[in-house]
Amino acid sequence: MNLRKLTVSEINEYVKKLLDYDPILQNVIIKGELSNFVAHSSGHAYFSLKDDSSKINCIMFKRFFKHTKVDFKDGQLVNCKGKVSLFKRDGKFQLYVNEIELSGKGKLYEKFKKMKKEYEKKGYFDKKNKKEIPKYPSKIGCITSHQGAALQDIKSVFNRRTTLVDMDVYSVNVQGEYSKKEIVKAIKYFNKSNVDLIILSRGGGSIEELWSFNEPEVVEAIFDSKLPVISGVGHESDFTLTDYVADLRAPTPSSAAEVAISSNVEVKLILDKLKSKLNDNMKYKINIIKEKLNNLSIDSLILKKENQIKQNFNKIDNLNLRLNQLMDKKITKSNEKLKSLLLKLNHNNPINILDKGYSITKNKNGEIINSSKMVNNGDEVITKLSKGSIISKVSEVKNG
Amino acid sequence: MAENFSEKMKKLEKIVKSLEDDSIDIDKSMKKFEKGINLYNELNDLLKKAENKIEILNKKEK
Repeated sequence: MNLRKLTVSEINEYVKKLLDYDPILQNVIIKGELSNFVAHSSGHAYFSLKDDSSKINCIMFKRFFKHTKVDFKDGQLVNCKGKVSLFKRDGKFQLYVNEIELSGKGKLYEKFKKMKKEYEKKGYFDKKNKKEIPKYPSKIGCITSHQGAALQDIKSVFNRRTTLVDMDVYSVNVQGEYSKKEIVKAIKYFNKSNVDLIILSRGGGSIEELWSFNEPEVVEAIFDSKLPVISGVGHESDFTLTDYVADLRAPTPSSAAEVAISSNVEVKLILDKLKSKLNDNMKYKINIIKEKLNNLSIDSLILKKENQIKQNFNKIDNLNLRLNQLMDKKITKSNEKLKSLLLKLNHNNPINILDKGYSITKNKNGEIINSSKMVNNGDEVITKLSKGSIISKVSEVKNG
Repeated sequence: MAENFSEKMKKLEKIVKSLEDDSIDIDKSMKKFEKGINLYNELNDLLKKAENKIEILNKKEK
């Protein structure tokens, strides 16, 4: 043992220098799963990164950690950028992190959640914005890869279920950098063509592979489409923004085809139902007419006439009553007039004059004598007084 | 062929519904009924004779 003895501090210092002088270790990005993540009250974050067989301790100082916006949790896959150095006190090497982000799936998933929230807020997924799927489309526009399994599934559903629907397939890349532009172009193309609805589809895949269906350009093109869009992207468990913004989401390409078209069997059933309803409605109509005809029988005619006569009688009765009332009124009025005349007459009654001392003298024939020429000497005359009368003989007549 | 189907189907549905209206007189109803039956027959024929057409538009570009 001729070696120089070193202190613990010396060896730790030496190893630290070795690490710090290594250009690779000064700037590394390490991918791993988060564990033991602690955001300390001091503002620093402590955690480890691990993969299937190894682990490395990490520290992220406050001045870096305060810029992160993601809510980190154990189990997330992350990328950490920083330098590897030694913590002298414990003799442990660790990663001094200055940037951290969710990696791959985790990152995309966070992005997906964020965009979903944004579009939800903007009303892109609102029910009121969903277009109605036509019941009997004549032609369907299908956007998918002409080489993909999705198209095979859709075709086989078509050929099994219907003979009535035509389909135009607009072949696009369903992943990769050209994908979103092609999908948007296809949606616009079909909106100018004679198809009744659009199926947008691809087979299953990882979130990265399905990402075109989360691209804002695609989401907005679907939202702006005047034709209804049915999405059939991936498997049942895969959800993309396309599924949310589409007018109808089918879990798979096959089921997208199923919901888009009514099968011949279904159409036949509906058709036959319509026919029997047509018959029923016509029968009902004829029955109504029959009933109306029945109502026009002789009996009902007589009844109608009787009613008419009755009504006429009523009219006459009414007229009679009115006439009587009018007559009564007239008579009453005449009576009153008569009374007042009588009163006037009484006023001028000559008998009343007798009371004042006047008298009336009549001859034998009962004629009132108002001239001396009406009597001769010796005639008997009767003079009526107010009370009683006098019979006298004329002793002299003076004419003049 | 298939182009006509949905149009005719809609017409038939409309006729069936219009016969429910009591105010339409018997002459008009009979005419509508006849038209409906004709449509039904045509649709049935279409259903039997039609054939799907699947076309891939831009295969060459790929």
